[in-house]
Amino acid sequence: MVVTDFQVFAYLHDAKCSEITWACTKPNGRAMRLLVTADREAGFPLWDGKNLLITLSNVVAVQFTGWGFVGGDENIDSWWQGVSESLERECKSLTAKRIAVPLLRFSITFRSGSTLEVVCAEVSVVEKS
Amino acid sequence: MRASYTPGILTVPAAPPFGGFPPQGGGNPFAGGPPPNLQPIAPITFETVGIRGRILSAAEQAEFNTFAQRAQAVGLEASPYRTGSWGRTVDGVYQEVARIDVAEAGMPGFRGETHMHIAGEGGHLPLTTPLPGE
Repeated sequence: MVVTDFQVFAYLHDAKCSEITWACTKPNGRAMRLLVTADREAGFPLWDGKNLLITLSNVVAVQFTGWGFVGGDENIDSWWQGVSESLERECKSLTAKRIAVPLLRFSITFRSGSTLEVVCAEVSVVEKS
Repeated sequence: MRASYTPGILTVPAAPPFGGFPPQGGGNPFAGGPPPNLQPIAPITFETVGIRGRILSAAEQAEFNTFAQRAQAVGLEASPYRTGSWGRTVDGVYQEVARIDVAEAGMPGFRGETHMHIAGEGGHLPLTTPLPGE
């Protein structure tokens, strides 16, 4: 399911994130994949307690700061639209070089304080068994 | 006025003594004391770490501070990279024991509702839940 209403990502608060993948399988574009399990009390019946594969497609830029010294599960804390000023500057620099920079910008923060920023063209969510 | 953050309880620096407005033209009519009907323009805000630089209102900060006092009282240490996370460092690994998630106005689900988590206990817990050791 391609997501166009990005407000729904607020319901991923406390989702357990078990994997983040930089997917290079397609020659003409990169993708980021997040494997998450939505919280049972997330408040969005379509996702509550479900395993979800979130794919960010045609990714042009990613910035990740990960804190691996934090033990236990990793959980999504928040999903925002927008990226940091530093990544936005990079995007402007790319645009000036005639690189096609897509419109979508997301910042995902995690329980550990880790942060993933992504600039991409599309985001989809599918349920995984 | 900006608050400085070190892990733990945030403090707001004391306001400098009000010295009146700079003289303009014929002098400062408010010299010697604050004007009676004017309030500071900017609200007091607090920076955070690990939650996308979220800026807290004084009320939100009060929730973090109250939780911090409880966590410190049972010997927990603040995560250096995530405001509201409290735990212990064991063998070089930070293990979260408890965390407060303060509601964000306008957000649905539990992002819009203040709650806490305790390691080993599932779900979103009310702030009245005792911390381990309380």
